Amino acid sequence: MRTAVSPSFRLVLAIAACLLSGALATTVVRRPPWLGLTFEQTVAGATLRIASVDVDETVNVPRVRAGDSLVAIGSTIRDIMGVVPSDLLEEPDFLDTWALEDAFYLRQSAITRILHSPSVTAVVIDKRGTVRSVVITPRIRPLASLPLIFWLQLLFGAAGLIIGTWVWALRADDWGPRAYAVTGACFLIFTHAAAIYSAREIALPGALFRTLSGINHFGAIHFGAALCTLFLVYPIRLTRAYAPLGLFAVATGWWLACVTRLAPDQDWGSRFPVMLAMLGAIGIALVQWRRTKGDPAARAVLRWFAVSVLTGCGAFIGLTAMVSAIGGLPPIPQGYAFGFFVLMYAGLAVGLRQYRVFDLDQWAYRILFWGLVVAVFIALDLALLNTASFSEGRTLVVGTFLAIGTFPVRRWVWSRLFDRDQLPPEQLFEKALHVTYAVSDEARDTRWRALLTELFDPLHAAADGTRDGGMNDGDVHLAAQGQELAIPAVASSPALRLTYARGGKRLFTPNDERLVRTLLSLMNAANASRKAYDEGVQRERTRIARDLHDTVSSPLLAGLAPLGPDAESGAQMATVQSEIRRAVRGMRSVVSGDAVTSAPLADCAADARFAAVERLTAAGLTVTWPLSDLGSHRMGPAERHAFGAFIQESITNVIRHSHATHIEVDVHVTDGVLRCVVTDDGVGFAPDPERQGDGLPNLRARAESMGGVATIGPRSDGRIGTEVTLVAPLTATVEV
Amino acid sequence: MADVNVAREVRQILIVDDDPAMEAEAVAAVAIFGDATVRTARTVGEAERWIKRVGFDLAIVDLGLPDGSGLSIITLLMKGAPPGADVMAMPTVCVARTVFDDDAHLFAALAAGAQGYLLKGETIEVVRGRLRAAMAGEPVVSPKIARRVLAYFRGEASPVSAQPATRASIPPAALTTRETEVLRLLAQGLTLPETAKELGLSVNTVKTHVKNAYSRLDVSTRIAAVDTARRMGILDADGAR
Repeated sequence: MRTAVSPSFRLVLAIAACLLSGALATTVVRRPPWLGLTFEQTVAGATLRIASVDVDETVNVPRVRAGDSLVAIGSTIRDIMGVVPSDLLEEPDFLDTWALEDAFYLRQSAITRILHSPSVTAVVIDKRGTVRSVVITPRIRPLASLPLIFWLQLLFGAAGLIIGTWVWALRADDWGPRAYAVTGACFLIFTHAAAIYSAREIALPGALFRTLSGINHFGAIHFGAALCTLFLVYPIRLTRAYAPLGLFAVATGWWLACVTRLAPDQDWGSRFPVMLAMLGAIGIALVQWRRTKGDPAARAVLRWFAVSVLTGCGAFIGLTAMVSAIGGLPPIPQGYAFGFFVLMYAGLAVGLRQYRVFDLDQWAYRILFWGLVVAVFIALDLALLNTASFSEGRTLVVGTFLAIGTFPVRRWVWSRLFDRDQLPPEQLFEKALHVTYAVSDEARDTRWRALLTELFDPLHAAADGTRDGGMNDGDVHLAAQGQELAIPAVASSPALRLTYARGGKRLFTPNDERLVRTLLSLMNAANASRKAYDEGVQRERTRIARDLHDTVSSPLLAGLAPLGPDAESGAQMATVQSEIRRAVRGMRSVVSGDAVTSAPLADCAADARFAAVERLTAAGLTVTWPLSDLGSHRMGPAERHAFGAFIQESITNVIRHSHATHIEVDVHVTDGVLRCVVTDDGVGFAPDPERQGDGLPNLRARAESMGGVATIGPRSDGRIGTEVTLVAPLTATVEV
Repeated sequence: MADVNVAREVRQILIVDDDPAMEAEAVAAVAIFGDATVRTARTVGEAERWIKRVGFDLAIVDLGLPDGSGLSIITLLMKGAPPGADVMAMPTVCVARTVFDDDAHLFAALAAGAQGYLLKGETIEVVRGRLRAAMAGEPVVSPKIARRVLAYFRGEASPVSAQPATRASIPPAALTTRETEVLRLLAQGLTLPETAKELGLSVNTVKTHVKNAYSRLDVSTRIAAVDTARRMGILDADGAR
């Protein structure tokens, strides 16, 4: 049968029930003829002060005015009865004994009879104390005259039933929503019943009134039973079905005892059972608390329920309980106080729907806090109402102070409750760096997991490759109602799924989500710069390797070349040593970074000159190397190297082969072209096969690497000797 | 100024190098000093033991040693004669030996008090020339050093690191015009004799100018230089062995 009814149909039924019930209530409340008077809602006073009048003036000559007080009414001037403020009592439950209640109903019946007369004589007294009698013709009460409180109660009741039905309709097979739907129905019953009698002008027929009150009690008591049932079955089902049934049986029995006046008085009849139901609900909630240990989602829902019920029922009971505590009438009409239940209703619905369970705690705290503020405010207001020295304005000041002055305390409580896992930004950054700069991928992964453990202490942290059907490479997100936090892959760590924060004591929250997101973006940024750094190191390493190969390995390998069988071993040794020296020089240039930085041509020439002169002098040669203006030309790394090597090797050739005594070197720049001439007075140049490997091909290679040309030949001035020329364009003239 | 041209007699020589081949090369090089006694040490510890016992005229110190840096040996030798030695004895002439000729290595050695430096791999003729020059009290010169000193006195750079000088609290004493001229020519790659010829001065006068310029490298700057070198890891990470 259940499957035959669709959720929307249930909802339609509920709305229809609300409309029907509302229409019924509206009809009943308009049954008694209407005088057109609206009375001030007073807590104390001896008379009924008229707040506004809606009387047909053509009939009534001395008019009733707003501000007058109604003293008595009757069908004729000879048959009048006095009216008192208690005749306007909103809720007969506020009367303490059955006798008082019966007397109240009798007066209601009597007044109703008077209202049914064709014309009603009302005795009013004005502000000056003048008494006069006015004849009013009762009319059918117009809809527009029904007070706000009537419509509100209808609305509250409807809201309860519709929300309850909605939650139930969506999850009809769960016991929680079922119990919840029952509370909704009960709520409709007691609010709509109360709506009728609270909206009467002065009176309803006593029997009707008593019936309505009975209906109201029925709703209230069963509402309590349903609430207890809700906690019995939700979040965890604590009992079998008979326990709720038993509860309802007790509720019905108690209600019968109440309406049949078997209970000794009003306290026993209606107040205690309702109170008992509330206490019972709290007790059962505590049992739920124990049973939901290790289930943070259930606990979050439970906390939320507790807060909803506490604020909703608590506020209502607090207000109505004051009736017996301090005597008198509640500070606001009961009808408005029903609004608290609606708040509770909405709260319970949120909990049952498990909507953003991970957020509930924070909202619960906020609601609880402000509820407390409001309660303190009201209590203060009441306390100060009796001390004449305090005006309303001052209570407002005190209340404002409470709301603002407690801000630091609130902040503290809040941070204790929800921000425990928050880190200051610099620590966050440090931790992100700590993870990113681990030495190896494994270490990085280990540190990342350690950091997550430190932050959230989850029961499990597993690579997340299963649930999403693959690696989660998307964003951080909460899953399973905050029981899980899915974290995307970062660097070398796979996507992770953390389960049960703080060992299952709490849920993951959007704050956690944000925290991890921040961490991830920090780590990704750090990772990018680490990668760039690593790449830089790698590039540098590659460069050094290449440079070492070019400048060190090749001379060393040349030195390793096997000695020819008929070669002069002395000359060969000299070649080997020279190659090794070249290698060492090359290594020096690699290490000093000369191979990577540009430098002024003048400096390069100076270095080359100094080294050459020192070597030549030590070898017993004289040198002429005039200084020349080399301008602001610069040489790139490759050019520097090639230039230095060219000079070095030319000198080596001169020392080794030329038998020269004097050498001239000229370096100058013309129109951006470097020209370098090395002239010796040796035996002259003879390109024969014997002199292979003496570096002449090297000189050409150096020149080519500068984009220039090397020529080796006899001296251009005709004297004996050799002239080596390097002509190369200077490209790197821009300041680096 | 004392006459620096008179080479002092060399009787005791200390060679500190952990590489036997390099040691042999140094021993061969110091043969120019005739029958001087040559002591060799392979470690800082050994060298220190020698220094306690013998007053050396010349020490050739490798900067990278197995148990520390040669700089500490130079510093120790510069502290003066060992106890009991002739108080009038001249301080040891120290020559640092390294495979790398970058500014930091050279300046660290010069700041520690080295009179000269040798680059490993240079021909024995060059090495001998350097040793003779050092013993003759000639300042160590190279275009690089001259450029660095000039830059330092222009306030552009500290002698040790390439960073702009931050020790503005110790403004370097200005160079004289002559000193600047001399250094500029050296910076262009001229040798000391060439510089002297260019300026029409005696070689000794040029040497004196260079030494005076060097001596203006503030003492505290020298200490800072050593500290900086140590921090940069040059003292410990010297690749000279």
